[in-house]
Amino acid sequence: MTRLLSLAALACAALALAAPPPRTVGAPGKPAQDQCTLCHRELEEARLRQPALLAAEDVHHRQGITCAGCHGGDPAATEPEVAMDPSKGFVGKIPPQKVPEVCAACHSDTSFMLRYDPNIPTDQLAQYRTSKHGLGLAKGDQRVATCASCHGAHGILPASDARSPVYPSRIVETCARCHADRSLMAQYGIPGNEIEDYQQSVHYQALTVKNDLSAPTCNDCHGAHGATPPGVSSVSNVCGTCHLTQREAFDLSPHKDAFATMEQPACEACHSNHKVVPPQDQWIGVEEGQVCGTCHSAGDPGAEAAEKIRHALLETVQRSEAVRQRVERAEQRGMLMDEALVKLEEAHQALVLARNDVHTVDPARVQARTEEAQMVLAKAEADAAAAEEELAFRHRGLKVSLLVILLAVVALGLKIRELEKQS
Amino acid sequence: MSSHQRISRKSFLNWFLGTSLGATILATLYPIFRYVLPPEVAEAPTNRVLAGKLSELPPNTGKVFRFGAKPGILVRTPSGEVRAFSGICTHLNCTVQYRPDFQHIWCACHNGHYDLQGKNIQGPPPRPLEAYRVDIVGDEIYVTRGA
Repeated sequence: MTRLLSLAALACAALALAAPPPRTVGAPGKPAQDQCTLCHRELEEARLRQPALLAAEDVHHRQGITCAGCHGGDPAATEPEVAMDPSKGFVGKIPPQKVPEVCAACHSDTSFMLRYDPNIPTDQLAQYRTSKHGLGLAKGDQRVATCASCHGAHGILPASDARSPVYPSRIVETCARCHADRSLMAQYGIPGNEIEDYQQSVHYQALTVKNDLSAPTCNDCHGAHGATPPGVSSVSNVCGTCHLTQREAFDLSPHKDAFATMEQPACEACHSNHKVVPPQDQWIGVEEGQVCGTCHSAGDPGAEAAEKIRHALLETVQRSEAVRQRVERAEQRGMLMDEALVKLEEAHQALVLARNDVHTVDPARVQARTEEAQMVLAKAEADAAAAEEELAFRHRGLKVSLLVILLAVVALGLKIRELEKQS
Repeated sequence: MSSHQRISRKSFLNWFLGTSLGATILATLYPIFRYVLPPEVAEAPTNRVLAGKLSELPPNTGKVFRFGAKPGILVRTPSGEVRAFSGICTHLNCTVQYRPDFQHIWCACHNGHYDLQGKNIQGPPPRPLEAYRVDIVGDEIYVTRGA
Protein backbone atom coordinates (compact mmCIF):
# COMPACT_ATOMS: atom_id res chain seq x y z
CA MET A 1 0.00 0.00 0.00
CA THR A 2 2.81 2.38 0.98
CA ARG A 3 4.57 1.56 -2.27
CA LEU A 4 1.40 2.31 -4.20
CA LEU A 5 1.05 5.65 -2.44
CA SER A 6 4.66 6.53 -3.22
CA LEU A 7 4.12 5.74 -6.88
CA ALA A 8 0.98 7.89 -6.89
CA ALA A 9 2.91 10.76 -5.26
CA LEU A 10 5.66 10.45 -7.86
CA ALA A 11 3.09 10.47 -10.64
CA CYS A 12 1.49 13.62 -9.20
CA ALA A 13 4.91 15.30 -8.96
CA ALA A 14 5.63 14.37 -12.57
CA LEU A 15 2.27 15.75 -13.66
CA ALA A 16 2.90 18.97 -11.80
CA LEU A 17 6.05 19.52 -13.87
CA ALA A 18 4.60 18.25 -17.13
CA ALA A 19 4.08 20.48 -20.13
CA PRO A 20 0.57 22.04 -20.39
CA PRO A 21 -2.22 20.00 -21.98
CA PRO A 22 -2.12 20.04 -25.79
CA ARG A 23 -5.39 21.99 -26.14
CA THR A 24 -3.83 24.95 -24.32
CA VAL A 25 -0.94 25.12 -26.74
CA GLY A 26 -1.16 25.96 -30.44
CA ALA A 27 1.39 25.55 -33.19
CA PRO A 28 4.73 27.29 -32.52
CA GLY A 29 5.09 30.56 -34.42
CA LYS A 30 1.32 31.08 -34.64
CA PRO A 31 -0.41 33.42 -32.13
CA ALA A 32 -2.74 31.70 -29.69
CA GLN A 33 -6.46 31.77 -30.43
CA ASP A 34 -8.36 31.72 -27.16
CA GLN A 35 -11.58 32.98 -25.74
CA CYS A 36 -9.88 34.23 -22.56
CA THR A 37 -8.33 37.32 -24.15
CA LEU A 38 -11.47 38.06 -26.19
CA CYS A 39 -13.60 38.30 -23.05
CA HIS A 40 -11.02 39.79 -20.67
CA ARG A 41 -10.14 42.70 -22.93
CA GLU A 42 -13.76 43.88 -22.63
CA LEU A 43 -13.80 43.76 -18.83
CA GLU A 44 -14.00 46.98 -16.85
CA GLU A 45 -11.76 45.96 -13.99
CA ALA A 46 -8.21 46.96 -14.99
CA ARG A 47 -6.47 44.07 -13.22
CA LEU A 48 -8.53 41.61 -15.28
CA ARG A 49 -8.41 43.57 -18.55
CA GLN A 50 -4.70 44.43 -18.58
CA PRO A 51 -3.37 40.83 -18.97
CA ALA A 52 -5.55 40.36 -22.06
CA LEU A 53 -4.28 43.61 -23.59
CA LEU A 54 -0.70 42.56 -22.94
CA ALA A 55 -1.22 39.12 -24.50
CA ALA A 56 -0.64 40.38 -28.05
CA GLU A 57 3.00 41.19 -27.20
CA ASP A 58 3.57 38.21 -24.91
CA VAL A 59 6.23 35.81 -26.21
CA HIS A 60 4.15 32.82 -25.09
CA HIS A 61 0.89 34.00 -26.61
CA ARG A 62 2.69 34.84 -29.86
CA GLN A 63 3.97 31.26 -29.93
CA GLY A 64 0.49 29.75 -29.56
CA ILE A 65 0.40 29.25 -25.79
CA THR A 66 -2.94 30.33 -24.40
CA CYS A 67 -3.71 31.81 -20.99
CA ALA A 68 -4.79 28.32 -19.94
CA GLY A 69 -1.18 27.19 -20.36
CA CYS A 70 -0.49 28.78 -16.96
CA HIS A 71 -3.93 29.40 -15.46
CA GLY A 72 -5.63 26.18 -16.54
CA GLY A 73 -9.29 26.03 -17.58
CA ASP A 74 -10.75 25.72 -21.04
CA PRO A 75 -9.45 28.45 -23.41
CA ALA A 76 -12.03 27.57 -26.06
CA ALA A 77 -15.11 27.88 -23.85
CA THR A 78 -17.28 30.97 -24.28
CA GLU A 79 -19.08 30.65 -20.95
CA PRO A 80 -17.04 31.93 -17.98
CA GLU A 81 -18.23 29.08 -15.75
CA VAL A 82 -16.91 26.49 -18.19
CA ALA A 83 -13.74 28.39 -19.11
CA MET A 84 -12.80 28.88 -15.45
CA ASP A 85 -14.05 25.55 -14.15
CA PRO A 86 -11.73 24.21 -11.42
CA SER A 87 -12.53 20.72 -12.66
CA LYS A 88 -10.79 21.70 -15.90
CA GLY A 89 -7.68 22.67 -13.96
CA PHE A 90 -8.44 26.39 -13.62
CA VAL A 91 -6.29 27.90 -10.84
CA GLY A 92 -6.85 31.64 -11.32
CA LYS A 93 -4.15 33.86 -9.89
CA ILE A 94 -1.02 31.83 -9.28
CA PRO A 95 0.40 32.33 -5.78
CA PRO A 96 4.11 33.38 -5.68
CA GLN A 97 5.24 30.08 -4.18
CA LYS A 98 3.75 28.22 -7.16
CA VAL A 99 5.16 30.50 -9.89
CA PRO A 100 8.53 28.72 -10.39
CA GLU A 101 6.84 25.34 -10.80
CA VAL A 102 4.24 26.70 -13.22
CA CYS A 103 6.94 28.24 -15.44
CA ALA A 104 9.14 25.16 -15.08
CA ALA A 105 6.29 22.95 -16.33
CA CYS A 106 7.42 24.02 -19.79
CA HIS A 107 10.80 25.61 -19.19
CA SER A 108 12.31 22.50 -17.57
CA ASP A 109 10.93 20.23 -20.27
CA THR A 110 13.75 19.91 -22.81
CA SER A 111 11.69 18.18 -25.48
CA PHE A 112 8.89 20.74 -25.17
CA MET A 113 11.29 23.72 -25.31
CA LEU A 114 12.99 22.24 -28.36
CA ARG A 115 9.89 23.16 -30.35
CA TYR A 116 10.63 26.84 -29.78
CA ASP A 117 14.38 27.20 -29.42
CA PRO A 118 16.89 24.33 -29.57
CA ASN A 119 19.44 26.32 -27.54
CA ILE A 120 17.25 27.56 -24.74
CA PRO A 121 18.46 26.45 -21.29
CA THR A 122 16.12 24.27 -19.26
CA ASP A 123 17.87 24.35 -15.90
CA GLN A 124 16.38 27.61 -14.62
CA LEU A 125 14.31 25.95 -11.89
CA ALA A 126 17.26 23.89 -10.68
CA GLN A 127 19.34 27.06 -10.53
CA TYR A 128 16.56 29.06 -8.92
CA ARG A 129 16.28 26.53 -6.11
CA THR A 130 19.94 27.15 -5.22
CA SER A 131 19.54 30.94 -5.30
CA LYS A 132 18.94 33.19 -2.31
CA HIS A 133 15.50 33.88 -3.77
CA GLY A 134 14.68 30.20 -4.25
CA LEU A 135 15.96 29.26 -0.80
CA GLY A 136 13.85 32.04 0.72
CA LEU A 137 10.77 30.90 -1.18
CA ALA A 138 11.31 27.33 0.01
CA LYS A 139 11.24 28.66 3.59
CA GLY A 140 7.90 30.31 2.89
CA ASP A 141 9.11 33.87 2.29
CA GLN A 142 6.72 35.24 -0.34
CA ARG A 143 8.53 38.59 -0.73
CA VAL A 144 11.46 37.06 -2.57
CA ALA A 145 11.74 37.31 -6.33
CA THR A 146 10.20 34.60 -8.47
CA CYS A 147 10.19 34.30 -12.27
CA ALA A 148 7.39 36.88 -12.66
CA SER A 149 9.18 39.44 -10.46
CA CYS A 150 11.89 39.89 -13.07
CA HIS A 151 10.30 38.72 -16.35
CA GLY A 152 6.83 40.04 -15.66
CA ALA A 153 3.65 37.99 -15.41
CA HIS A 154 1.86 39.03 -18.60
CA GLY A 155 3.27 40.61 -21.73
CA ILE A 156 6.52 38.72 -21.20
CA LEU A 157 9.14 39.69 -23.77
CA PRO A 158 12.20 37.69 -24.83
CA ALA A 159 15.37 38.69 -22.93
CA SER A 160 16.82 39.86 -26.25
CA ASP A 161 14.06 42.49 -26.62
CA ALA A 162 15.37 45.90 -25.51
CA ARG A 163 12.01 46.56 -23.80
CA SER A 164 12.30 43.45 -21.63
CA PRO A 165 13.04 44.06 -17.94
CA VAL A 166 15.80 41.45 -18.24
CA TYR A 167 17.52 43.06 -21.24
CA PRO A 168 21.15 43.72 -20.17
CA SER A 169 20.82 47.49 -19.89
CA ARG A 170 17.54 47.19 -17.92
CA ILE A 171 18.50 44.47 -15.46
CA VAL A 172 19.81 46.92 -12.89
CA GLU A 173 16.49 48.79 -12.70
CA THR A 174 14.68 45.46 -12.45
CA CYS A 175 16.84 44.32 -9.52
CA ALA A 176 16.56 47.84 -8.06
CA ARG A 177 12.81 47.40 -7.59
CA CYS A 178 13.65 45.37 -4.49
CA HIS A 179 17.36 45.87 -3.90
CA ALA A 180 17.22 49.67 -3.82
CA ASP A 181 14.51 49.49 -1.13
CA ARG A 182 16.68 49.95 1.95
CA SER A 183 13.92 49.17 4.43
CA LEU A 184 13.08 45.91 2.66
CA MET A 185 16.76 44.98 2.28
CA ALA A 186 17.45 45.77 5.94
CA GLN A 187 15.20 42.84 6.83
CA TYR A 188 17.66 40.56 5.01
CA GLY A 189 20.80 42.18 6.42
CA ILE A 190 21.61 43.76 3.04
CA PRO A 191 22.69 47.44 3.09
CA GLY A 192 20.56 48.39 0.06
CA ASN A 193 23.17 50.73 -1.44
CA GLU A 194 24.34 48.17 -4.01
CA ILE A 195 22.37 49.62 -6.91
CA GLU A 196 23.44 53.18 -6.12
CA ASP A 197 27.07 52.04 -5.92
CA TYR A 198 26.86 50.03 -9.11
CA GLN A 199 25.46 53.03 -10.97
CA GLN A 200 28.70 54.87 -10.19
CA SER A 201 30.82 52.04 -11.54
CA VAL A 202 32.85 51.78 -14.71
CA HIS A 203 30.74 48.75 -15.62
CA TYR A 204 27.48 50.71 -15.52
CA GLN A 205 29.10 53.51 -17.54
CA ALA A 206 30.22 51.01 -20.18
CA LEU A 207 26.76 49.47 -20.29
CA THR A 208 24.70 52.64 -20.45
CA VAL A 209 26.99 55.32 -21.89
CA LYS A 210 29.04 53.24 -24.32
CA ASN A 211 26.11 50.90 -24.91
CA ASP A 212 28.46 47.94 -24.41
CA LEU A 213 26.04 45.09 -23.68
CA SER A 214 28.92 42.80 -22.73
CA ALA A 215 29.69 44.99 -19.70
CA PRO A 216 28.70 43.23 -16.51
CA THR A 217 25.43 43.99 -14.83
CA CYS A 218 23.92 42.34 -11.70
CA ASN A 219 23.37 38.87 -13.16
CA ASP A 220 26.86 38.61 -14.70
CA CYS A 221 28.49 38.39 -11.27
CA HIS A 222 25.62 37.05 -9.15
CA GLY A 223 24.02 34.70 -11.65
CA ALA A 224 20.55 35.17 -13.09
CA HIS A 225 18.32 32.33 -11.93
CA GLY A 226 20.82 31.07 -9.37
CA ALA A 227 21.38 34.59 -7.99
CA THR A 228 23.59 34.54 -4.93
CA PRO A 229 26.48 36.69 -3.69
CA PRO A 230 29.87 35.33 -4.76
CA GLY A 231 31.68 34.05 -1.68
CA VAL A 232 35.05 35.35 -0.51
CA SER A 233 36.90 32.59 -2.32
CA SER A 234 35.09 33.07 -5.61
CA VAL A 235 35.30 36.87 -6.04
CA SER A 236 38.56 36.71 -8.00
CA ASN A 237 37.10 33.94 -10.15
CA VAL A 238 34.04 36.05 -10.92
CA CYS A 239 36.09 39.15 -11.82
CA GLY A 240 38.67 36.96 -13.55
CA THR A 241 36.18 35.68 -16.09
CA CYS A 242 36.65 39.02 -17.88
CA HIS A 243 39.81 40.38 -16.23
CA LEU A 244 41.90 37.29 -16.84
CA THR A 245 45.32 38.92 -17.11
CA GLN A 246 44.86 40.77 -13.83
CA ARG A 247 43.74 37.57 -12.18
CA GLU A 248 46.80 35.71 -13.50
CA ALA A 249 49.04 38.50 -12.22
CA PHE A 250 47.27 38.45 -8.86
CA ASP A 251 47.70 34.68 -8.62
CA LEU A 252 51.48 35.22 -8.94
CA SER A 253 51.49 37.71 -6.09
CA PRO A 254 52.04 37.09 -2.37
CA HIS A 255 48.59 38.67 -1.89
CA LYS A 256 46.85 35.53 -3.13
CA ASP A 257 47.81 33.40 -0.14
CA ALA A 258 47.69 36.33 2.29
CA PHE A 259 44.12 37.22 1.31
CA ALA A 260 43.08 33.57 1.49
CA THR A 261 44.58 33.27 4.97
CA MET A 262 42.79 36.40 6.14
CA GLU A 263 39.60 35.25 4.39
CA GLN A 264 39.49 38.53 2.50
CA PRO A 265 37.93 38.85 -0.95
CA ALA A 266 40.67 39.47 -3.50
CA CYS A 267 39.69 42.09 -6.11
CA GLU A 268 37.07 43.68 -3.88
CA ALA A 269 39.64 44.68 -1.26
CA CYS A 270 41.07 47.42 -3.52
CA HIS A 271 38.41 47.90 -6.20
CA SER A 272 35.24 47.56 -4.11
CA ASN A 273 32.44 45.25 -5.23
CA HIS A 274 29.65 47.28 -6.78
CA LYS A 275 31.22 50.73 -6.93
CA VAL A 276 34.06 49.69 -9.24
CA VAL A 277 35.32 53.09 -10.38
CA PRO A 278 38.19 53.48 -12.88
CA PRO A 279 41.39 52.66 -10.96
CA GLN A 280 43.93 55.43 -10.41
CA ASP A 281 47.71 55.12 -10.07
CA GLN A 282 47.45 57.43 -7.05
CA TRP A 283 45.57 54.71 -5.18
CA ILE A 284 48.80 52.78 -4.72
CA GLY A 285 50.37 53.61 -1.38
CA VAL A 286 49.74 53.68 2.33
CA GLU A 287 48.75 57.33 2.76
CA GLU A 288 45.19 58.39 3.47
CA GLY A 289 42.91 57.50 0.57
CA GLN A 290 45.33 54.93 -0.82
CA VAL A 291 44.33 51.29 -0.89
CA CYS A 292 47.49 49.57 0.35
CA GLY A 293 47.16 51.35 3.69
CA THR A 294 44.32 49.02 4.66
CA CYS A 295 46.86 46.28 5.47
CA HIS A 296 50.30 47.92 5.16
CA SER A 297 51.84 50.80 7.07
CA ALA A 298 54.69 53.20 6.27
CA GLY A 299 58.10 51.58 6.37
CA ASP A 300 57.06 47.97 5.89
CA PRO A 301 58.22 46.10 2.75
CA GLY A 302 54.75 46.22 1.23
CA ALA A 303 54.59 50.01 1.59
CA GLU A 304 58.05 50.36 0.04
CA ALA A 305 57.03 48.17 -2.91
CA ALA A 306 53.87 50.25 -3.35
CA GLU A 307 55.91 53.45 -3.33
CA LYS A 308 58.24 52.13 -6.04
CA ILE A 309 55.32 50.96 -8.19
CA ARG A 310 53.41 54.24 -7.86
CA HIS A 311 56.53 56.29 -8.61
CA ALA A 312 57.33 54.23 -11.72
CA LEU A 313 53.78 54.59 -13.04
CA LEU A 314 53.31 58.28 -12.27
CA GLU A 315 56.69 59.22 -13.71
CA THR A 316 55.86 57.38 -16.94
CA VAL A 317 52.37 58.87 -17.14
CA GLN A 318 53.71 62.42 -16.65
CA ARG A 319 56.37 61.96 -19.30
CA SER A 320 53.89 60.34 -21.65
CA GLU A 321 51.54 63.31 -21.28
CA ALA A 322 54.34 65.82 -21.82
CA VAL A 323 55.59 64.02 -24.94
CA ARG A 324 52.07 63.60 -26.29
CA GLN A 325 51.47 67.33 -25.93
CA ARG A 326 54.70 68.12 -27.82
CA VAL A 327 53.87 65.64 -30.58
CA GLU A 328 50.29 66.86 -30.94
CA ARG A 329 51.44 70.50 -30.95
CA ALA A 330 53.87 69.73 -33.77
CA GLU A 331 51.13 67.89 -35.64
CA GLN A 332 48.74 70.82 -35.22
CA ARG A 333 51.43 73.07 -36.69
CA GLY A 334 51.47 70.98 -39.83
CA MET A 335 54.26 68.46 -39.22
CA LEU A 336 53.82 64.80 -40.15
CA MET A 337 54.10 63.03 -36.77
CA ASP A 338 52.93 59.51 -37.65
CA GLU A 339 56.15 57.85 -36.42
CA ALA A 340 55.95 59.64 -33.07
CA LEU A 341 52.24 58.83 -32.72
CA VAL A 342 52.96 55.13 -33.28
CA LYS A 343 55.65 55.30 -30.57
CA LEU A 344 53.19 56.98 -28.22
CA GLU A 345 50.78 54.09 -28.80
CA GLU A 346 53.59 51.63 -28.03
CA ALA A 347 54.30 53.51 -24.81
CA HIS A 348 50.59 53.47 -23.96
CA GLN A 349 50.56 49.71 -24.46
CA ALA A 350 53.59 49.23 -22.21
CA LEU A 351 51.84 51.35 -19.58
CA VAL A 352 48.68 49.26 -19.81
CA LEU A 353 50.78 46.11 -19.31
CA ALA A 354 52.60 47.78 -16.40
CA ARG A 355 49.24 48.44 -14.76
CA ASN A 356 48.33 44.78 -15.23
CA ASP A 357 51.57 43.88 -13.50
CA VAL A 358 50.63 46.05 -10.52
CA HIS A 359 48.56 43.02 -9.48
CA THR A 360 51.78 41.01 -9.05
CA VAL A 361 52.86 43.70 -6.51
CA ASP A 362 56.39 43.13 -7.83
CA PRO A 363 58.11 46.52 -8.40
CA ALA A 364 60.72 44.93 -10.69
CA ARG A 365 58.05 43.68 -13.12
CA VAL A 366 56.27 47.03 -13.17
CA GLN A 367 59.54 48.93 -13.59
CA ALA A 368 60.58 46.68 -16.48
CA ARG A 369 57.37 47.69 -18.28
CA THR A 370 57.66 51.38 -17.45
CA GLU A 371 61.30 51.42 -18.58
CA GLU A 372 60.16 49.94 -21.87
CA ALA A 373 57.59 52.74 -22.13
CA GLN A 374 60.21 55.37 -21.21
CA MET A 375 62.55 54.13 -23.95
CA VAL A 376 59.84 54.44 -26.59
CA LEU A 377 58.84 57.83 -25.18
CA ALA A 378 62.45 59.02 -25.52
CA LYS A 379 62.31 58.17 -29.23
CA ALA A 380 58.96 59.94 -29.64
CA GLU A 381 60.39 62.93 -27.79
CA ALA A 382 63.37 62.99 -30.18
CA ASP A 383 60.92 62.98 -33.10
CA ALA A 384 59.03 65.86 -31.52
CA ALA A 385 62.28 67.78 -30.93
CA ALA A 386 63.31 67.23 -34.57
CA ALA A 387 59.91 68.44 -35.73
CA GLU A 388 60.16 71.51 -33.52
CA GLU A 389 63.65 72.24 -34.88
CA GLU A 390 62.35 71.87 -38.44
CA LEU A 391 59.48 74.23 -37.66
CA ALA A 392 61.89 76.76 -36.16
CA PHE A 393 64.06 76.49 -39.27
CA ARG A 394 61.03 77.10 -41.48
CA HIS A 395 60.05 80.12 -39.42
CA ARG A 396 63.57 81.55 -39.69
CA GLY A 397 63.49 80.86 -43.43
CA LEU A 398 60.17 82.66 -43.77
CA LYS A 399 61.48 85.71 -41.90
CA VAL A 400 64.63 85.82 -44.06
CA SER A 401 62.57 85.38 -47.23
CA LEU A 402 60.23 88.21 -46.23
CA LEU A 403 63.20 90.46 -45.46
CA VAL A 404 64.83 89.61 -48.79
CA ILE A 405 61.60 90.32 -50.68
CA LEU A 406 61.25 93.63 -48.82
CA LEU A 407 64.79 94.59 -49.75
CA ALA A 408 64.14 93.61 -53.37
CA VAL A 409 61.06 95.85 -53.43
CA VAL A 410 63.08 98.75 -51.96
CA ALA A 411 65.89 98.17 -54.48
CA LEU A 412 63.40 98.01 -57.31
CA GLY A 413 61.82 101.26 -56.13
CA LEU A 414 65.16 103.04 -55.99
CA LYS A 415 66.11 101.74 -59.43
CA ILE A 416 62.85 102.95 -60.95
CA ARG A 417 63.39 106.37 -59.36
CA GLU A 418 66.88 106.58 -60.81
CA LEU A 419 65.73 105.54 -64.27
CA GLU A 420 62.98 108.19 -64.11
CA LYS A 421 65.60 110.85 -63.19
CA GLN A 422 67.83 109.82 -66.13
CA SER A 423 64.96 110.06 -68.57
CA MET B 1 76.56 115.61 -57.73
CA SER B 2 79.74 114.39 -59.50
CA SER B 3 79.61 111.69 -62.20
CA HIS B 4 81.83 109.53 -59.98
CA GLN B 5 79.23 109.68 -57.24
CA ARG B 6 76.41 108.92 -59.72
CA ILE B 7 78.26 105.88 -61.11
CA SER B 8 79.00 104.67 -57.60
CA ARG B 9 75.34 105.07 -56.59
CA LYS B 10 74.19 103.44 -59.80
CA SER B 11 76.48 100.46 -59.37
CA PHE B 12 75.38 100.14 -55.71
CA LEU B 13 71.74 100.18 -56.76
CA ASN B 14 72.42 97.58 -59.43
CA TRP B 15 74.25 95.41 -56.95
CA PHE B 16 71.49 95.88 -54.35
CA LEU B 17 68.77 95.05 -56.86
CA GLY B 18 70.64 92.07 -58.31
CA THR B 19 71.48 90.62 -54.91
CA SER B 20 68.00 91.06 -53.46
CA LEU B 21 66.32 89.65 -56.58
CA GLY B 22 68.77 86.74 -56.53
CA ALA B 23 67.99 86.08 -52.87
CA THR B 24 64.24 86.30 -53.59
CA ILE B 25 64.61 83.72 -56.34
CA LEU B 26 66.60 81.49 -53.95
CA ALA B 27 63.95 81.94 -51.24
CA THR B 28 61.33 80.86 -53.75
CA LEU B 29 63.28 77.95 -55.18
CA TYR B 30 64.39 76.42 -51.84
CA PRO B 31 60.92 75.39 -50.61
CA ILE B 32 60.15 74.06 -54.10
CA PHE B 33 63.38 72.02 -54.01
CA ARG B 34 62.54 70.69 -50.51
CA TYR B 35 59.03 69.84 -51.65
CA VAL B 36 60.31 67.83 -54.62
CA LEU B 37 62.79 65.82 -52.50
CA PRO B 38 61.23 62.80 -50.77
CA PRO B 39 60.73 63.42 -47.01
CA GLU B 40 62.70 61.46 -44.42
CA VAL B 41 59.43 60.12 -43.01
CA ALA B 42 57.28 58.21 -45.44
CA GLU B 43 54.00 60.03 -45.79
CA ALA B 44 50.98 57.88 -45.13
CA PRO B 45 48.51 57.33 -47.91
CA THR B 46 45.02 58.20 -46.81
CA ASN B 47 43.21 54.93 -47.31
CA ARG B 48 45.37 52.38 -49.14
CA VAL B 49 48.65 50.82 -48.12
CA LEU B 50 50.98 48.05 -49.22
CA ALA B 51 50.67 45.89 -46.13
CA GLY B 52 52.99 43.01 -47.00
CA LYS B 53 53.90 40.25 -49.37
CA LEU B 54 51.97 37.05 -49.80
CA SER B 55 55.17 35.01 -49.95
CA GLU B 56 56.14 36.33 -46.50
CA LEU B 57 52.81 35.43 -44.91
CA PRO B 58 52.36 31.65 -44.68
CA PRO B 59 49.00 30.20 -43.56
CA ASN B 60 48.22 30.54 -39.82
CA THR B 61 50.33 33.66 -39.38
CA GLY B 62 49.67 37.35 -38.98
CA LYS B 63 51.51 40.60 -39.42
CA VAL B 64 51.01 44.02 -37.91
CA PHE B 65 51.41 46.79 -40.48
CA ARG B 66 51.07 50.55 -40.33
CA PHE B 67 48.15 52.48 -41.64
CA GLY B 68 49.49 55.99 -41.18
CA ALA B 69 49.88 56.45 -37.46
CA LYS B 70 47.66 53.48 -36.60
CA PRO B 71 48.39 49.77 -36.69
CA GLY B 72 46.51 47.30 -38.85
CA ILE B 73 46.74 43.53 -38.72
CA LEU B 74 47.06 41.24 -41.70
CA VAL B 75 45.97 37.68 -41.07
CA ARG B 76 46.44 34.62 -43.23
CA THR B 77 43.99 32.04 -41.99
CA PRO B 78 44.95 28.37 -41.65
CA SER B 79 43.02 27.78 -44.89
CA GLY B 80 45.18 30.39 -46.65
CA GLU B 81 42.71 33.28 -46.92
CA VAL B 82 44.13 36.77 -46.38
CA ARG B 83 42.17 39.22 -44.22
CA ALA B 84 42.95 42.62 -42.76
CA PHE B 85 41.57 44.47 -39.76
CA SER B 86 42.31 47.48 -37.64
CA GLY B 87 45.09 46.47 -35.25
CA ILE B 88 43.67 48.50 -32.37
CA CYS B 89 41.93 46.53 -29.65
CA THR B 90 38.46 47.95 -29.05
CA HIS B 91 38.93 47.68 -25.29
CA LEU B 92 41.82 50.02 -24.38
CA ASN B 93 43.53 50.64 -27.73
CA CYS B 94 46.43 48.18 -27.38
CA THR B 95 47.81 46.63 -30.56
CA VAL B 96 46.44 43.16 -31.22
CA GLN B 97 48.45 40.23 -32.59
CA TYR B 98 47.82 36.91 -34.32
CA ARG B 99 48.23 33.83 -32.13
CA PRO B 100 48.99 30.74 -34.26
CA ASP B 101 48.28 28.51 -31.22
CA PHE B 102 44.78 29.98 -30.80
CA GLN B 103 44.36 30.37 -34.57
CA HIS B 104 42.81 33.77 -34.01
CA ILE B 105 43.57 37.37 -33.06
CA TRP B 106 44.49 38.16 -29.49
CA CYS B 107 45.27 41.22 -27.39
CA ALA B 108 47.97 40.80 -24.80
CA CYS B 109 46.86 43.70 -22.60
CA HIS B 110 43.67 42.19 -21.18
CA ASN B 111 43.42 38.85 -22.94
CA GLY B 112 40.88 39.93 -25.51
CA HIS B 113 40.13 37.42 -28.26
CA TYR B 114 38.81 38.06 -31.77
CA ASP B 115 37.90 35.41 -34.31
CA LEU B 116 39.12 35.34 -37.89
CA GLN B 117 36.27 37.66 -38.88
CA GLY B 118 37.52 40.22 -36.33
CA LYS B 119 34.57 39.56 -34.05
CA ASN B 120 35.17 39.88 -30.31
CA ILE B 121 34.63 36.42 -28.88
CA GLN B 122 36.17 36.45 -25.41
CA GLY B 123 37.47 38.87 -22.82
CA PRO B 124 36.72 42.55 -22.38
CA PRO B 125 36.72 43.94 -25.97
CA PRO B 126 33.26 45.45 -26.51
CA ARG B 127 33.24 45.61 -30.30
CA PRO B 128 34.68 43.77 -33.31
CA LEU B 129 37.80 45.01 -35.09
CA GLU B 130 37.12 47.18 -38.13
CA ALA B 131 37.58 45.07 -41.27
CA TYR B 132 39.57 46.36 -44.25
CA ARG B 133 39.44 45.34 -47.89
CA VAL B 134 42.31 43.21 -49.15
CA ASP B 135 43.55 43.26 -52.75
CA ILE B 136 46.31 40.93 -53.85
CA VAL B 137 48.31 42.10 -56.86
CA GLY B 138 50.89 39.47 -57.77
CA ASP B 139 52.76 38.91 -54.52
CA GLU B 140 51.76 42.23 -52.97
CA ILE B 141 48.95 42.61 -50.47
CA TYR B 142 47.19 45.98 -50.57
CA VAL B 143 44.80 46.96 -47.83
CA THR B 144 42.12 49.61 -48.28
CA ARG B 145 40.41 51.33 -45.39
CA GLY B 146 36.81 52.49 -45.51
CA ALA B 147 36.04 50.43 -48.61
